Amino acid sequence: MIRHLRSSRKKLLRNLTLGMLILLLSNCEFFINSLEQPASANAGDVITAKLDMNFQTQAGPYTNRIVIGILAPRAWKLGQNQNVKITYSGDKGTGTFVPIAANVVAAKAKNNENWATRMKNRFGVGPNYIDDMEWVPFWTATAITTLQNENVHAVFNIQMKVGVDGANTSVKLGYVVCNDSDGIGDADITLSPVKFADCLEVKGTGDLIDFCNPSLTSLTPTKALDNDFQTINYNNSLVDTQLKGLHELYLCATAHTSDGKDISICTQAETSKMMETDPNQFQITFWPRKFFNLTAGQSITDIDYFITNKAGTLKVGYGNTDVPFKLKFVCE
Amino acid sequence: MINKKLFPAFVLLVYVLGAASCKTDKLVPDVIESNKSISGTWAIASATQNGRELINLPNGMTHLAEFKITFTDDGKYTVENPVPFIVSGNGQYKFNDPQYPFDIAFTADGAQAPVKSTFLSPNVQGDRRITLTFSPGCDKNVYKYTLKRTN
Repeated sequence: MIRHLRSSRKKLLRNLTLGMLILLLSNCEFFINSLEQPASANAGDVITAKLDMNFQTQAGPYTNRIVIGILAPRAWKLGQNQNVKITYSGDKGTGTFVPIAANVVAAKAKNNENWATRMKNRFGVGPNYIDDMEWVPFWTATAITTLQNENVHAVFNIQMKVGVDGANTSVKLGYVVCNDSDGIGDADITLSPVKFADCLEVKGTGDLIDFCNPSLTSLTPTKALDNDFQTINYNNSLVDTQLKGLHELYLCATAHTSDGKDISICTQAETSKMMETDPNQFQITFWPRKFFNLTAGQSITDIDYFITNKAGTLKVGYGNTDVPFKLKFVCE
Repeated sequence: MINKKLFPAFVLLVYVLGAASCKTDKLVPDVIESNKSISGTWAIASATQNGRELINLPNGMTHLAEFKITFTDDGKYTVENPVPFIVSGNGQYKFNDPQYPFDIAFTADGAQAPVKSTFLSPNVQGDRRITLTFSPGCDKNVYKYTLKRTN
């Protein structure tokens, strides 16, 4: 036992020394001075993001490739078809970035994972709310040499085709920068700083895929028709809405029918009252055909809805705005 | 502990008893299975959507407690206070096999073709129940209603 403790203490010491040595040897700090990125684009457009960078080396000289990872919706396929072109210019001249192949193991990998996985494991999807995103890694085509106490300035020019899936999307893209020997550690951010852009609105077609905003409501089942029981779940503690702290909430909804009519049910009645299933978690289950009193030949294509207080004076809509939530009746 | 000498005799006894027990009378008695009758009025005892129980939700939301269906022996049914169901109007019903039904077809008045549901009739505490399985909306949403007689 004692021997075991001794040997583990020895191991710890050895690892610590080794770690310090590595830090000293390759301490090259990155700073993202600024990030410029447009706030909106059309699906299929090529947008340009600019990262203004500084990297400082205390010791050196070092010769490393610079790595950049971009976080984007999986459906955009940034890693394919040259959807991304990155160049740099600055104190070290100009150059280009190329994709890092998936079989390249990342520096500081825990289980031989590649760069994309290492970035995902470390940063997840950042401030986004839907985990259907990927980190796409690139590195400089050639290694760059920095000298002792050098402070290099460079601007990365990132051109990327957004929304190749054609869908209406709002998303906060992410950028991480490091070098190919320091990689991305578990805690430090000086060696691999990360920056997430403000919400980018990509105009396409169809229902908005909203990575930026928390979802106040959710549906059970997620796909239904007007002849199904539909449950709307509402989370009254997610953000500070006008309804915060209230316990009597109602559904206020307008159905759009296939014959072009709008049927509005916005009375605060027993049939539209939401049930508090857990503290601040509300739910209403209804049969849309009955809720909206459809006639035999009518059917509902979609519903706009708000959550209201008992008096009907306070309304909460999509993303805590006065735009209604939308519910579309489709099976696929 | 079984005596070592007695053990072979014991084994033989077990064998003989076992062999004798294989002689059976007819398993199925010579009576004709009667046609299953579900005549009467039925209400919902349990209703699930994709395995989620709906009957515990407030009736003001689902209206499941008000639903009634009445079957008559002449093959007709009537629905009161409809909810999402196999069919939406009154009409006729038919078993695939009147003696051993395992599915039931509903043809609403004016409908072109019947709509089928699997049919089970378990006994719960001496009461006959009917369990119907169907999808009134999207195919992937599967409902299971268990009905009990109201009278």
